Amino acid sequence: MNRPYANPYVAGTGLGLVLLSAYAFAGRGLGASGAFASAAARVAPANPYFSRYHGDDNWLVVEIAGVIIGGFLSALLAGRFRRVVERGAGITTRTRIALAFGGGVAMGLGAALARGCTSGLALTGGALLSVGSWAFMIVAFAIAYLLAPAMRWAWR
Amino acid sequence: MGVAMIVALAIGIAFGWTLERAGLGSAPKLAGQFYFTDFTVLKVMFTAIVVAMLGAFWLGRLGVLDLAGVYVPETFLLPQIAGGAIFGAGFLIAGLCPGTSCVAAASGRGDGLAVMGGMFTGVLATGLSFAFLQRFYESTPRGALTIPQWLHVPYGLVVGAVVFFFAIAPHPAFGHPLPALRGEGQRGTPPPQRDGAFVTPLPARGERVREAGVRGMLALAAIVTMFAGSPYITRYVEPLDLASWIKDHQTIQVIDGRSAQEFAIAHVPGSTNAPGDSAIHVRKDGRDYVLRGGIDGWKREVLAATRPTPVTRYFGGLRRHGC
Repeated sequence: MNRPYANPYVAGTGLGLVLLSAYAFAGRGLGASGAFASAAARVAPANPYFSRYHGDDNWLVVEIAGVIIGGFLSALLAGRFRRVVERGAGITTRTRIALAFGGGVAMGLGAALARGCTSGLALTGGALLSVGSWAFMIVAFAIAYLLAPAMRWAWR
Repeated sequence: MGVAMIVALAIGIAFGWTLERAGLGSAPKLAGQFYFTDFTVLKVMFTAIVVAMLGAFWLGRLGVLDLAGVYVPETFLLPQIAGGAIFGAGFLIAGLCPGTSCVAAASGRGDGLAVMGGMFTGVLATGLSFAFLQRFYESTPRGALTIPQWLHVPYGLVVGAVVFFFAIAPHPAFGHPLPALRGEGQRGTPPPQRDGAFVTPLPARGERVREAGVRGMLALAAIVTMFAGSPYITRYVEPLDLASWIKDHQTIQVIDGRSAQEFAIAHVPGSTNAPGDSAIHVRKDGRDYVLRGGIDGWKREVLAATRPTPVTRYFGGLRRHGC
């Protein structure tokens, strides 16, 4: 029931074609963090940051709803849907949830400052050769690899 | 539900499906990249970038897609470097990035849901403290700057160089996803042998021939692309470039195609109004350009770039018109 994952190059080619379709049919790329900003703009008082995400920018929210539907269907059909918390054996579920939440907060801050995340900035802008996208991508991966030994305990 | 929303939903579904198929809805698999046990993230990501980059270039070059009409994420150098550093640390700690956290949550993973909650909290907190961050957030604007514009080289050369590097670079375990660092069900088992870029099991002969074929074709496509020039159909001028042309008193002609009402609210100084389309056309040295981002791009970028310095008479002229 637990089907093996797709070849990463085949999946990457598929993802590249999805991104290309987004350029061609929507005039923009993919995104994820922007949907969180749009959601936050709904509950927060208006200010110059949130106003950028007010109005007609439902695109990212609908797209992320699609990501959840697509991810759910794929996991279900491949027998990979499972209600678990994935963690290293050496840490408790509570620690893993705290790390996931804390990491999420940091990514939220970083993505808000940078105007995008791995999807909206690195992937989308990377293929369009945006200078800021490549700077973001290189710095993000460099820092993650640099600090990785300090987080090894979480995955032992 | 409009067509744009149907497109958004369809693209989202395909995006989520592809990430899940690759295994990117599972945190141990993503975390494996940082410990050299699983390179799925980098393989998927760079393959996607190469495919989309080559595709966008050639669709533009062959006149199928107006690449100048595709939104290029704008560059704000310092906030993006600082944001990248904070984001990278968060990615490492969470083991998932924003997009993949949605896929993880959708496939039942509680840690994916926690990352989503954290993301929402982080963005909300940043937005709420925007008064303190705004100055930094808007610093070092470079507009929709691309690497070829920055290096002053042809667009095709940069695309070709990136693809060529991808074609000849060593790829750990070509075509064989390495096992996840530690998936659930195998808890307590030691992580797979440190493989990384160092020790790659020799694949069968057929595999090696296929790999050489793919690499050869990619390298060939890269070399052709290097000499293929520019993919743009419409020539665009960036707002900051237009500002410097005006400032340098170059002989340019700016024709604003928007309605008289819109023109009255704000326009580029020295431009004439000729309603027809929604674009702002610039003619310089016998070449035609379209102002990227229209009047909104002009206002945002030019004003952001000039905020700390004294306002010149051109920007003063724009201010009088209500900007």
